Amino acid sequence: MAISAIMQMQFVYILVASLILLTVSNILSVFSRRHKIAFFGTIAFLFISLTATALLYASNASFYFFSIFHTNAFSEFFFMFFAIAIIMVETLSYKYSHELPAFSLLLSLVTFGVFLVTFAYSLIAILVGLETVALASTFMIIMNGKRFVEPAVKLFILSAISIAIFTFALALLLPYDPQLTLSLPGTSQAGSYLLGLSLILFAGALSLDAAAFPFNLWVPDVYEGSPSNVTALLASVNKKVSFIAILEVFIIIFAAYRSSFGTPLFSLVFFFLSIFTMFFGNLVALVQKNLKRLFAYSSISQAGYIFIGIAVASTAGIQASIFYIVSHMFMIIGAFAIVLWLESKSIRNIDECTGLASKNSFAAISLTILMLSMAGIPPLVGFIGKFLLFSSAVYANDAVLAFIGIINSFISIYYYAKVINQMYTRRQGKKMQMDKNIAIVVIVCLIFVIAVGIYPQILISAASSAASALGAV
Amino acid sequence: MTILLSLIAVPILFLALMLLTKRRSGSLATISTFISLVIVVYLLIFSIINKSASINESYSYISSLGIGFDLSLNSISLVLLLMSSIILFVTALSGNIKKEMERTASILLVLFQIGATGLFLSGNLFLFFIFWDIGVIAPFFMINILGSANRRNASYKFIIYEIFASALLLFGIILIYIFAPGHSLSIAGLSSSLSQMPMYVQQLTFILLFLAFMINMPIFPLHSWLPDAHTEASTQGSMVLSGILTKFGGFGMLIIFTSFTIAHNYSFYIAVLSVVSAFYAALLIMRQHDIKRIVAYTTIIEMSIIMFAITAMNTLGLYGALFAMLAHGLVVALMFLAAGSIEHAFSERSIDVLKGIAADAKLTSYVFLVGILAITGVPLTTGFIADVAMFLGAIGAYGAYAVIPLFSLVLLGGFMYYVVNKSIFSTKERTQSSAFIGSSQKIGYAILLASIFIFGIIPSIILNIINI
Repeated sequence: MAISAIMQMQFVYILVASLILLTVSNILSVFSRRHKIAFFGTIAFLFISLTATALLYASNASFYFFSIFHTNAFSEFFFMFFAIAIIMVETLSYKYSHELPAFSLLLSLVTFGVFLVTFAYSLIAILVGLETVALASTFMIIMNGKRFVEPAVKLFILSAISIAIFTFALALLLPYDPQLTLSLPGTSQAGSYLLGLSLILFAGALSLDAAAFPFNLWVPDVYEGSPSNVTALLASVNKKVSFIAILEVFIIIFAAYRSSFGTPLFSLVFFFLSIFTMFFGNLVALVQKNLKRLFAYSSISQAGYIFIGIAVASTAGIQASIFYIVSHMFMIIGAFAIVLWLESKSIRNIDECTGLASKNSFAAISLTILMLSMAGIPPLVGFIGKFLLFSSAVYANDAVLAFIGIINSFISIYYYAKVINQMYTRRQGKKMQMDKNIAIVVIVCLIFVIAVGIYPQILISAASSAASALGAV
Repeated sequence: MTILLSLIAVPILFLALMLLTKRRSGSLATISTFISLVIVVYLLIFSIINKSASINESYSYISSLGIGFDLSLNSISLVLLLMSSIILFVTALSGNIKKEMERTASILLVLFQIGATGLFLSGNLFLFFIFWDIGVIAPFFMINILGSANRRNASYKFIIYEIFASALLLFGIILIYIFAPGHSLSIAGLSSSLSQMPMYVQQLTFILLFLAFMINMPIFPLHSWLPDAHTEASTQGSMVLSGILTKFGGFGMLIIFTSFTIAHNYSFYIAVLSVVSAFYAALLIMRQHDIKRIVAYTTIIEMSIIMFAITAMNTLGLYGALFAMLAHGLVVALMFLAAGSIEHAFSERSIDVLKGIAADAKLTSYVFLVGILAITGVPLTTGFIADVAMFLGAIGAYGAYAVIPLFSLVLLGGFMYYVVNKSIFSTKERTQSSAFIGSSQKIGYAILLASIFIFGIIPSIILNIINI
């Protein structure tokens, strides 16, 4: 069925309208203080925007709108998955947030920020989108009470610094492209130092958001300090949005800016970022005692894996990174959903997980599967992602990266096994019931992790069309 | 034909069924393994009639990477599949002597069944790796959840060694994937695609794969996970660990030694290493007191001798190695079943404490004795045929020196008779609880003993279809 351009534009209108209505309905629910309205309104409008995006995706839409946005396979692909992630976070928060209307309002702001970043055709849109996401999640943390001020302030300051550097980097690009569009600035200036400085600043700003090696010390503190439903949002949406920004900025704008080795300069930067991030995350995770800190460090190391594909800078590499971003989104939401439930039973440390299998075998089995997937054990989705990443690295003559990645997945099995070991220690205890909303989210994540792991073809081809829509190098 | 796919689909369906229902998981596991056994026996008869085994099936999998869901059955995989399905059936039927945590044990067993069946059937290295890891994860939980007192350390050691092995394996497979013409990972076409790769890649890949399989087999000095893992695992765990899991490595060795032409350059050094390994384990076994640990060490000796025969790289050596894997799997499963039964009856595993158990547990004691005879290669048992073929093959490659590792078997035999004397047929010291043996366990003994003798007396069933 061929869908005309007018129809496609209507889908865009529906998408934007649903986002606006999402915000409006949440503002109303904040005043009426009805939890149910907030919850079902948010879910319903997010589903509408998800459907509109899916229809756009199915009709192969690719055009510009409102002069700073464009829609293509890349943006639609990611917005769909972000919408699913946000729906899952909202589901998680149903019983776990005392101010659900306000939370949902902030969540709709996050959705709006994600929309700006994924559909951006202008660096300004990316800047505003990142800022919106960061600010909204800061408020989500702080509204839970006084003891959450510290992580919120940490997150706020860090994102403020990141935005400041981002703005400076943006300013340096101005001479080359006054419109600041997401396109290749004339290749004639390829050797310019100004452009190089801008690249480095962009790398700094975005790796601060994405928690790459030297800029990641805030992650464990903020993750541990925040309520777990917000942590799930931070780990899945906030962090992944900055990966989208990285992909858009570097693969499109700096694709032609080459280092003296002939490879793109950004690929060299991410080569080192990737190695250090993987090692740092994994080695520090080895000694963690708190579950949330463990997953914080583990997600740092997972960011390192994603950087492998960006460092490789080939179509295969970008495709692998996109695949891994999406798969990690599901793995980490599932993991933090279980952590949220455990926290409500006042289980915070790994030692306290003892005998979880006999108290609630579903939680133990799901956490095991999610962790095995993060460690890259087949036939789960994490393995397919790592196989794509490592093989793209070897193919681009970066065997070192693949080797270090494999060594790191080997290290990571140690700390995951530590948790698994604790959970299956035999100890009689009374059964613990899992809330339905958490169970639903965990089941969705598990289905994704197992089904895509067993039959990955669909997601791989979707990731590949997203990568080619990005105009990968 | 979807017969090979059905072999993998059956345990997957049963696994789903067992996860959804809460009852009768033990029987479900038994049925699942029994169906597989029936299919494999059918395949065996089919192959005997046709005098060769070769079935290939291919399904679409990850088409954008050029990786298909290729299943292939050849004589090597048929023999190993036969061994693994017999052991799995017996394990499911009679391995859970204590009848505790039956649901977990059965689910893990069927999970392992998926791994083992898939590994021996995989037609490309990608599937090989996937099933390899499923086959490693299931025993990890068999040790960690169902094991005995020291299970934590043992499972840790096991998973670290095995995941390191699979990391090496993954790197090797990625190298083959990148450098093979047309990104072909096909196992059958491995030698032709290897011949078109640069020499350094071939060497690197060979070393990576060899180390991975060496850890799994295991060969000295990378063997130290095995005694702990086998000792601490549940009876079911020990049976599938030493019966089937160690054959993953053996299967891999058969693949790389028949595919890599450069294996000739290394085979002598590997042979020396495996002789050292056999004697090292034979000397260590004399210091052991735990009856499960003793059986575990026999695995190292036997697998080292199998490795030695594979390095001969001639037909007889490879035949012998394959047959020895069949023989050893059956025998060691039998011995672990008997050892588990002894442990259950007397709540004791140390041979210093066990005295005169033959008086109380007659059947188990004699079964254990037959196991010892079979593992040392007494005629009429499968071990004899395997040893003859292996050593004839080795003599063809190394001359008279090839008999050296035979002495490790002599050492092993001597020590085992000492064990029998000391704890099985010695005078009874104190009254012990009567050792009741369930009928399921008797059937288990009977099936394993019958297959040991059938393949020992009429080896032509297997030897006629082997075609390496």
